Amino acid sequence: MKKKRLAALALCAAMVSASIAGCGVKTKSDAQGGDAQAQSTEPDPNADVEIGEVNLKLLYTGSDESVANVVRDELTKAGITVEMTAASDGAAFREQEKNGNFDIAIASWANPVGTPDYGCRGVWHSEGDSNVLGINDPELDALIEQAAGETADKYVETYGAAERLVVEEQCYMTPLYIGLTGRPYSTILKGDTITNNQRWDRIQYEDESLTETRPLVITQTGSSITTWDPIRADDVSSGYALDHMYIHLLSLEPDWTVSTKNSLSYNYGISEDNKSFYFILRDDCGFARVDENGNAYDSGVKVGGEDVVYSLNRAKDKDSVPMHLTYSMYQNLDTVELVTDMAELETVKNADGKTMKEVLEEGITPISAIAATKNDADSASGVYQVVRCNTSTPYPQILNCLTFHGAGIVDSEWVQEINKDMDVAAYDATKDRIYGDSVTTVEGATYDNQLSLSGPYVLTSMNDYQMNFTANPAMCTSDEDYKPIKTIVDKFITDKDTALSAARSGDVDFCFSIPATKYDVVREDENLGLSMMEGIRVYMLAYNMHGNSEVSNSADLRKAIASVINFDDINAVLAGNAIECYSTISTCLDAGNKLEYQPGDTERYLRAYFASKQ
Amino acid sequence: MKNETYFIKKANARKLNRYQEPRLLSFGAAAAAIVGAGCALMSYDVKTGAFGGIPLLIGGVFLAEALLTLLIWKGAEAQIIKTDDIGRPLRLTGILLFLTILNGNIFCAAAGLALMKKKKNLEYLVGCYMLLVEILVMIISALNVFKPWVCDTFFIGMGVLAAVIAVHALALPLVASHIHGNRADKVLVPVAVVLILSTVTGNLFSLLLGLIILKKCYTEDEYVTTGWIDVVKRLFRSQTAVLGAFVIVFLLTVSICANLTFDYGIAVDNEYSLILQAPSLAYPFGTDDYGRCVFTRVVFGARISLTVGIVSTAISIVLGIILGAIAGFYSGATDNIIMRVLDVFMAIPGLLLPIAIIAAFGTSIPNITLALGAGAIPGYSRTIRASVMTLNDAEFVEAAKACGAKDKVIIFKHILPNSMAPLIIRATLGIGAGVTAVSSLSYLGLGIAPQIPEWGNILKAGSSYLETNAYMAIFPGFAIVALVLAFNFLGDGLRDALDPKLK
Repeated sequence: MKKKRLAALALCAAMVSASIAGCGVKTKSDAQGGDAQAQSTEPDPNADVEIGEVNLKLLYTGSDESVANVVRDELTKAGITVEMTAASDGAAFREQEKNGNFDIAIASWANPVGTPDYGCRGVWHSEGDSNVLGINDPELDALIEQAAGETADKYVETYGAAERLVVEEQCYMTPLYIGLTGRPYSTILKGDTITNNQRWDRIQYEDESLTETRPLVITQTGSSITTWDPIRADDVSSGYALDHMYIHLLSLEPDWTVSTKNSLSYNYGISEDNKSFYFILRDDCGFARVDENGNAYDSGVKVGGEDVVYSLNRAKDKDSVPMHLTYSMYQNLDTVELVTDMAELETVKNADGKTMKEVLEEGITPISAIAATKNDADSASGVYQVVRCNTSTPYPQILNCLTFHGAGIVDSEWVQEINKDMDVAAYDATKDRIYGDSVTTVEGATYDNQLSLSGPYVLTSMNDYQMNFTANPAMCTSDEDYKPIKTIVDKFITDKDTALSAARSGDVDFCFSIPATKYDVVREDENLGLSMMEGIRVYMLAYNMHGNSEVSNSADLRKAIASVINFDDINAVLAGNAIECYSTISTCLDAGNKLEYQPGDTERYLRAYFASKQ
Repeated sequence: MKNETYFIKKANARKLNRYQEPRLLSFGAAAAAIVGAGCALMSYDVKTGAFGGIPLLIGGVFLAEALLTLLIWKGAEAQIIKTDDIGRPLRLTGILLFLTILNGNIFCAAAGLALMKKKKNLEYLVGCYMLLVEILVMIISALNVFKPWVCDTFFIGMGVLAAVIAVHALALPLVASHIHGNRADKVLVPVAVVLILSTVTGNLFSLLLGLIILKKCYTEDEYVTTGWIDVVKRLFRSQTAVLGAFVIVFLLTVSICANLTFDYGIAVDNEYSLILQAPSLAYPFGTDDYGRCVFTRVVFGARISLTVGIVSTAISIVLGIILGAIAGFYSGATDNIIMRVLDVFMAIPGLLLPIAIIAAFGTSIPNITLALGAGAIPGYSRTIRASVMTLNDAEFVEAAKACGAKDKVIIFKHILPNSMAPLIIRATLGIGAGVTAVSSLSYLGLGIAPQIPEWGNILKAGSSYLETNAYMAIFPGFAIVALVLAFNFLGDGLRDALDPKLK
């Protein structure tokens, strides 16, 4: 009987403790009363419409899983059923997107050029090369064309109207966020030389004596290098290196403005009508080549106006090479010519009323004569080459496009010689060898490095694991301040976590990209610095506009979805590493638009959607 | 002199061997000490080099309890050697030990329950573990009151649990006093029925207890022991096997009771204001990168892991038995065809077959279960084929054949029941492997959708926070280890218990 008493005692204790705990404990239905209030005070004409079931297929890639999860969670809490579809990689994602095999998708658009036109034309224009969502809106096309012809002070308003049309009026896409990117670097590097749109030639060691002797080791994720011809390269694997292998007429600053630093121009000017662009060229840059032992040497060939004319003409001509990948960016480029007549520079004026000659000779020896060929140029005595680019319509944003790797200046005679037997129509990538084939730079039996490079770095060789670069010995030879690190090793590390581990163990000096969850780990590592910068990629919730989905046909349904997206939730999950944005052009332009979080309007939009279905 | 101490030692060992208490107490003390030391180690902060925090507190409590158990153990040993008995006062300290269940110390609590009762039969032991499971589930569920809110059915669930515990606690002394060896008083029949009915909570111990009582109530000859009850008795002699069974039954009960006492929303809905919170009373295992309670996720994750593990093993056992038995019984061409096809299956590396099946048919829980089940068939067929082949020539099979029994009857009535022992052991281990496999698949991103709580998923989410928020990976990792270890312990125990040489 004792046992019985004992058991009863234990039981009582359990029940008492449970009931004590029970006091003051709220149940779920107690705690979750009161829904969000509707933003709009107008009476809802569809108040009596019943909200039915909404099922959506959410497409995303594995790397966007956390944001996809937030979107799923927010939609689920709003009563919308979401089916998650993870695409195995970027290519599979684009394929599904193109085929309209989704309702909503976590899409993103990177803008390495820094112009609002690049930020929207490809994705919004009905003929845009990346318009995989199927947007087709004549009003939007007209706004994009109009803004392209305007200068910065005017186009803000036009782009503002275009993005309002896309985001609020028609709701083709809903902004999610811009990533705040953290790049870890070894503390042997000067932290302030690590910037956005990083240029290798600007990275400096704390101890300057290391510049000549110590190789800088960096990483990149893309490893499928196909070509070193700047106009045939994609942006993921070869594009990053190509930015450094060929010199450009202008270079891009971390704040997305263009400058002449370490570029082929001393100065540049824009004509009053925004259609002619003048560049006065340096005469101290040459092409470097690589001997059979893999050593870079100065070929003695100068980079000059003839090369610029040749390079930009082939950049805009779709048929200049097989598999041309960058021509659409230069479609507005009408003619590229050498200026031969000094009188032209004295008559053409810029928007401020200054003559082009005044603009171009600012800070350098005044122009005494125009050189006929590149070998005649002599900046010390004022003899320069001047190049003029004309656009068919006013298009000042072309300047940014000239900083892109597609506008890299190649060795005109050298490339023409190598490509002389090339037949664009009958090209067979497996047999034909044309300029820039990456296989010629791979160590081993096929190694026959035929590159002639004008940029700050020369690719000497590569293998499956890394690319080896040497500073161009012929670059900016008369500029005493130009002292880039002599040797750079760029390692292929596909996995971001592995790249970070390499940086922490000291194998790598600088990582281009690491997981956002690891920033704290870097901050706590005393051997690493972390440079935080606003990313160039805008993440959007894209709607299927191909016409084969419920969301294609109902702006109300799209707006209902948009109304549940809360930036704060995304920012919380991304540990505060997100920046609020409005549209794909937000990386380079703020037109003052802001999308308010309006959870109270979801039901109103859903009712409108179901009313239209009846 | 030397001989004298030698014999005294032997005599003492004999005395001690007659009692279960020293064994249970020493196991309880050792296990609690290991857990306590583990917790204390976990409280070590690598960066500051200091010990501290809640883990140290928990570790300290466990170590103190281990010390208490150690003292009682030594006391009990001394008493047994001196008087060949354990005195009342010492037995009453069992109550003290039982109270250690409040901080989840099942080892000392089990020892305490055993110490309290002088005359222990198998039924009392099973009943003790049954109660321990329920009390622990109730304590775990009660942790929910620290959350901002509990699910709507929480109080119903707790009420049901309390009622079940009450009924079982009342039944236990009744059971202990009304069973006499192999026979039980008929008054226990309704008790047994209640026990069997209360198995709906998932507590298999109460099912086992009910079945044992029913069997003993209706036994015809009390001098003949029932085979399977003997096996259970031998199983309960092994502390590790009982611990394994306890963990499995506990997880099963938790995953069923969680439907009432835990809120599924806390496990799947993001809570953006609670991202990456360290463990606390409200969130015992912390919160993950979406602000979901890792504890609730682990609790709900047990459901999927157990279901997939058990169902996939069941599928492979059924198909494996049929194929293996046919191959072993008929031999010759039949055997060759079946076994060569299975050999092809066997040649495919472990996880690759499920990955291929999932890639072809899509990700869903039934697909994963089928895929894992299909991959394990050859192993079971080989085991059963070997046993069937040895039994084929046995006299009782020949006798059955001589009597003109049909093949089907011979296989399923005569051969299979006699070749089950190795299969049961293999299956127990197989479930453990299934749990690991489903977690591995989820970890690789091939398993269940990321928001669904499943141990592999939870572990995967934690893996990217190993350095900054280690708790996110440690607890689901422990859960997987505990469940797989439990099945392995139980499998080992079953092998010993089913060993015919030990009969």
